Amino acid sequence: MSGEDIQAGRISDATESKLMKFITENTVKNPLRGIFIVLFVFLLYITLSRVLGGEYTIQQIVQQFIFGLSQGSIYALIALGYTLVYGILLMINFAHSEVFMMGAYGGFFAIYPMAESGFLQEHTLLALGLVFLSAMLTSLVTAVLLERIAYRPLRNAPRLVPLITAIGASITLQELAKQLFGASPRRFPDVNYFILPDSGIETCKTVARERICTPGLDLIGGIYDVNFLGLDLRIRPLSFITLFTAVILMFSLWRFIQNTKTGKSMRAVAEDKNTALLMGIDVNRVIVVTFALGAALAGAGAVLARLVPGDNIISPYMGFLPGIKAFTAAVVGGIGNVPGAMFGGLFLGVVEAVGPGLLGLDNQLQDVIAFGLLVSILIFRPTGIFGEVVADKKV
Amino acid sequence: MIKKSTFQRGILANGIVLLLTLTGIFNTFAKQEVIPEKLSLNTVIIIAMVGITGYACAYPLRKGKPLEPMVNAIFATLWLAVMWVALVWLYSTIDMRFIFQNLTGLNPSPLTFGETVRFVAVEATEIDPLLPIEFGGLVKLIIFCAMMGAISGFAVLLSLRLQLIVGVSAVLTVVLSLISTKINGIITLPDALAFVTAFGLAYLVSWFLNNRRTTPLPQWLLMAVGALVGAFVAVGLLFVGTEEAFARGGILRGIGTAPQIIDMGLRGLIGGLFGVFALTGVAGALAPKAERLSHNTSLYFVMMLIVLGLLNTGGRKLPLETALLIFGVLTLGIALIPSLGKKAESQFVQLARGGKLQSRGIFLFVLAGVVLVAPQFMGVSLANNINLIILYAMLGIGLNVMIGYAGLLDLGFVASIAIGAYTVGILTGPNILTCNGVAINPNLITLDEINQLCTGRIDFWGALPIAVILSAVTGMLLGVPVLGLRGDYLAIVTLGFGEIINRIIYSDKFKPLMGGAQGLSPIPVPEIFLPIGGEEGINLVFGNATSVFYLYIFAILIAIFVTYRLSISRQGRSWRAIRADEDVAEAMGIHTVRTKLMAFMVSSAIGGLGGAILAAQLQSVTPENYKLAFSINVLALVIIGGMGSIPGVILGAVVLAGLPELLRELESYRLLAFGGLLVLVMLVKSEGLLPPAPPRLSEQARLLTHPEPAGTD
Repeated sequence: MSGEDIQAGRISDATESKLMKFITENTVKNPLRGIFIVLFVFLLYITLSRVLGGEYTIQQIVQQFIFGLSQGSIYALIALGYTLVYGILLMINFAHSEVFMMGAYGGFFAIYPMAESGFLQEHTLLALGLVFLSAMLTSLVTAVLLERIAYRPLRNAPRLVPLITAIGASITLQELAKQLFGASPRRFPDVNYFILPDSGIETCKTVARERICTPGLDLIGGIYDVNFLGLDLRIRPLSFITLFTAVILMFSLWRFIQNTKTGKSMRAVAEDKNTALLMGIDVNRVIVVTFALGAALAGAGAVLARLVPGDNIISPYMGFLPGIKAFTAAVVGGIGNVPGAMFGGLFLGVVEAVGPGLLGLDNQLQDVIAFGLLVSILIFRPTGIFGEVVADKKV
Repeated sequence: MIKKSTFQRGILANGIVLLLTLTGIFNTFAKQEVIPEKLSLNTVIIIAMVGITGYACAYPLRKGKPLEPMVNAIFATLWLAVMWVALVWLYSTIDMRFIFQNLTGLNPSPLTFGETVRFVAVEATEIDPLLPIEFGGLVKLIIFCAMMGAISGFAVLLSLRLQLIVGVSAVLTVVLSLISTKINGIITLPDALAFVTAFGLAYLVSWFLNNRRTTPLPQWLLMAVGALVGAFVAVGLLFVGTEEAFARGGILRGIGTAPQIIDMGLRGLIGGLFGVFALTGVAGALAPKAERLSHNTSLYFVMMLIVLGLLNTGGRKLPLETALLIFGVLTLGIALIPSLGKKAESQFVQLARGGKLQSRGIFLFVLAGVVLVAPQFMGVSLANNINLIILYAMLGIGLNVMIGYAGLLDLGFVASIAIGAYTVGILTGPNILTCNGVAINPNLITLDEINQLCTGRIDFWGALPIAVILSAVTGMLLGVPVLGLRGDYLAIVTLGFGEIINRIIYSDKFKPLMGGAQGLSPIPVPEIFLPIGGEEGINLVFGNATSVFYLYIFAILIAIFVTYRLSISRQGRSWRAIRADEDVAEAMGIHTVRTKLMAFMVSSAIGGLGGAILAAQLQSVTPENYKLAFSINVLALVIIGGMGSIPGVILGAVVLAGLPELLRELESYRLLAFGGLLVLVMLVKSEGLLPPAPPRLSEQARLLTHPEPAGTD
């Protein structure tokens, strides 16, 4: 480029208004962005016309929003596993969705005998603690074995190789679960935990056309009609518990990574593996810890996701969709970025829950919205909303 | 004495065997017989498990002290035996079916050699006498494991070639006997022997003539001799052959069906007989001086003819003697053919250019002839399997452009296939578009009504190019947003795109157009009208598996031609360059965006072509067929076969698409084997089974990269 061109460029830069700059940026330089912006404006128009026209009420939005938050907190828990591993190894751990699935089975094999023997009904909290422990341990063992057998030997292989191994491991785990535990889906037993027996709140359910009411608030199995700020909502307390538990777990992880010695070495390895090695950090151990942490969170997420009555089926293929959506969430938040994954999960959950209603689509197309979000994030901000935190940019 | 590696490998092998045992693998295959009353599939699996464990543990020690591998292998296999015994004991004391649903019956099972094992004596009831403690089966198991350990420990000491020959022959024999009911009607033993005699005699005569003379015989003389030998065999057949031999199903069954199209009469049949055998003779005579590929292919084909003929003698079941004969033929063939091929190649390179072309041409001609008549010999079910292999091979060749050449991991290949299939479905099937705006419920409407109502439909040949172009364009459009992204983002975006397409074809919103979960049917059968042979002409209908075969063959030839030509062109070199290093490629002046988009486009177009033909073959499209698993299957065969190598992809298709289809009973373990193979191949041989040959460099380039003069190695 000659000097005159640069000058001309400067002059035009100075004279162009910000709006003009925005327009050229998104049409001439990057036509795809333009197309997507037009698409967004169109979607916004549909949304507004539906809300203003009264086809979709604020009440529905709030209710879907709350549901989306609880769904999203599960995505966030899984997404952390992807994001931690990607941050260190630059590899999409495709088998992480199967780690989640194994966690659900681990929880199931703990809760089922306890429900049969009545232990779950008598000591609900203790039993639930054991179920979480079992699920997290199962996930953890699966992930650590996976790392040891399938990923570690390929640490220095070309990028495609571990990715394909991960896909293979994912299929293997799915099919192994199918052959071991049977292809027929199983159901998590219903869990009820009553508090405030004297407050006058009653929990009712219809069993064989008879309405049976129990005094007290069922924190896990119940669903209640609540009038909140003039909106009639139907709310599960479990949604809030899920959100709360997920936030606590994620916050502990955040503290762990920021404050403990192991956490610091994790960050060091994510920054630069070789330098970390020179600093005397046992990289293999750190990687195992990373896999273990992500897996434990996924295991907890699996139990939380399956406690919902009516959505309690576990099957060998249950991991796939939450897994790929959690990865989407990790990308949305900025891969390698722990708070980003939390935000991305919640954001995706909410968009997915509110979106179909707002756009007037049926729920079958819910997943299309999630993937559409992924594609648009990648077009406008490939590093995610919070920016990515990954090791060497190129391997 | 027991090495650390033995413990490491032993733990892994034991873990895998334990998991497989817990999946109830011995119940699933309990009824499968490899050789009736002699060998069940269960026993084969146990032998394989123990053998592989022993072999894996002995392998690292093969160069050490002579007894070491054996001792380590026996240790590992005994470990396996102890684990199995513990499992049988656990199974008899604890009910594990709550967790392991498929695990029903470890006792009695092949693990206990069919004998009941009892750990505690059961008290006598009124009817039964006292049932004592029984251990016999488990003792047998332990002895058996120790023996297998000793054998595998000994096997590692043998030469690798010998191991390979015996191993491959044994595996092939087992596979052949499992699928014998499916393939035993292809050719009778006398027919096979007739062809083998013609080929083999010509081969021997030509070989003899070549070896006896210092100056090589001219090609035409060899061919004449071969034709003469073939004709001689044909004359012999005319004398020996009975009336039945010329009926349909006898000798020349393929030509026997030809009168359906062109009436050739008995005289024509006899002429055909001479022609075919003369050609066989010519091929046999040329083989000792042919290119290695032609030589080996034709010899392996002849070997398969003998095997197929042998299989045909056994009826539905395969007796032990036949199995042993087949094993012998396979061993001999696999042992001899490659070295003969090497000799033939050395003779071939001395030929003049014209002779080389002639030889290649004749073998191609014979190959084309074999391919053309092959469907007449296969039954419909075998033809279906072969079609599936060709379809998968073709899709693999398409995906290979993305993964193998350009290094772009595409997990949503099913999207291109689905777009191809649904374009054909929408344009040629009944829906709101073709039926003049009337929504169709396929359950409530007859074929006549569809024909009356849906006048907007076009025929397959019109829809095919649209399908291919549409796939290519969508593939390219998908490529645009993800071009600047890192490779693994691409994987997840394409995965998402595949899912989006699947959701859309499933959804109720587009039901009038795409039929929702039910899909669209019927899709008309492709037809070609040839205005020859009388006034009516010939209408070729691709309505069943044996005729769709030709469509698939045609399509895969196009796919191979296009991708091969592209791969050796400037485009192919650009692809390889961006696969190796994108930044460097860009610096060398390669337009990376255009190059990548081209890969997307070619790959999607081939996917669309495959989808279109699949839709026509199934005569319907349903969303059920176009799921993620489809992408993964194609991906797996590309990777296991060898990324970037067309023969590798075809081998991958044969192994991954062909065998599971033939072994329907293994269906439930098919995907498990897929996943396991993917991991194993990546860990052991990450370039695949048949990796592409290293690029051929010009003399200058070779000197630049390898400064040593040629011929030193």
